[in-house]
Amino acid sequence: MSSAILASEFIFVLANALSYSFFFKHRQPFRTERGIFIFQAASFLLLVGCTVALPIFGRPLHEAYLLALAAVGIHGIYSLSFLELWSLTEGSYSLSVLLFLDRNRGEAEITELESLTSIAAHKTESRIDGLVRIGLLRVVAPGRVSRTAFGTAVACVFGLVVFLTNGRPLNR
Amino acid sequence: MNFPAILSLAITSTIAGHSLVRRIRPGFNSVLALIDVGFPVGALLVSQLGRSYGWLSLHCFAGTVAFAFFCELYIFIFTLVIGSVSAAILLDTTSPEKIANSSQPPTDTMLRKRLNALRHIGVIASLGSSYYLTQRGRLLVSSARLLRRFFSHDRPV
Repeated sequence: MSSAILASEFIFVLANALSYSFFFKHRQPFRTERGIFIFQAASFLLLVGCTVALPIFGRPLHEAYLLALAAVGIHGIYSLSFLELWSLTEGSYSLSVLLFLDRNRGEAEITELESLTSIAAHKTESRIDGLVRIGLLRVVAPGRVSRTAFGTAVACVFGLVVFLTNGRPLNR
Repeated sequence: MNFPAILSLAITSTIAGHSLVRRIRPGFNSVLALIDVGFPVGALLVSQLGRSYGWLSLHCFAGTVAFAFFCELYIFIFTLVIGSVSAAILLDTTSPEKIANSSQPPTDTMLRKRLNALRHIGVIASLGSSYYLTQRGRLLVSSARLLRRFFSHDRPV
């Protein structure tokens, strides 16, 4: 029985991919970052929710727990890969550089590439607006922002990740 | 050891091992470093779960996919923190002592750092002041164009 439920989890993920490919991707709300995130998050929560609810239908609790963990893994790997590819191909700055070079017959002088700094400036401004909108930053004066308490908490988590991975943020 | 303990140990070992590798070889690609650590830890996890619960058991399958998902999530989080513009703004803006001036983004630095990163992974190369796409870069651009078409990014919203 558990292998049948496990197979259903795979079929659910496949149905997500097919419904996106043949139906949702042509619909305007699913062509925005917010829309596509909600689509994947709703599908993920639906699958995990269904497996968590299995004990209601008489399945043992420990089996439901393992099936829910498998659902998190299967759908999580699919959704995260999907969202990363979607986002990278939609608005990545690195990809803008590569596409610029490709359009320019594969090469460009640094002075030509500097025209891309306007993309960076626009991106920085739009990201600040986004961070203000979700409550991580607040506007303290025209053109000046500071972190909120929530923003400070998120920055602490980011700082921990930088410490753990010994990384250097690329845009600082 | 029980199932949650084995899985937790594999996850913490991966984080600790990755942190160690990044300190021993700071210039080494952080994603490849995680793959280098994650594969042997994952293999140990599968063998431990296989011996304890059976190779075709639900425990073995659920533990393996959950561990694989954790590795992908961890890569996603640290590449986001390292590469994202939003994360850099958030880390640079302290409150209330230091306030970021949103009208002066360090755009030139951003471009040069991206060019260096792209050169480091071998998708572009430079000759004097000019940059050009390598064979690997052309392949990446073709794949990106295919994906952009698949996701309908080329069509106006």
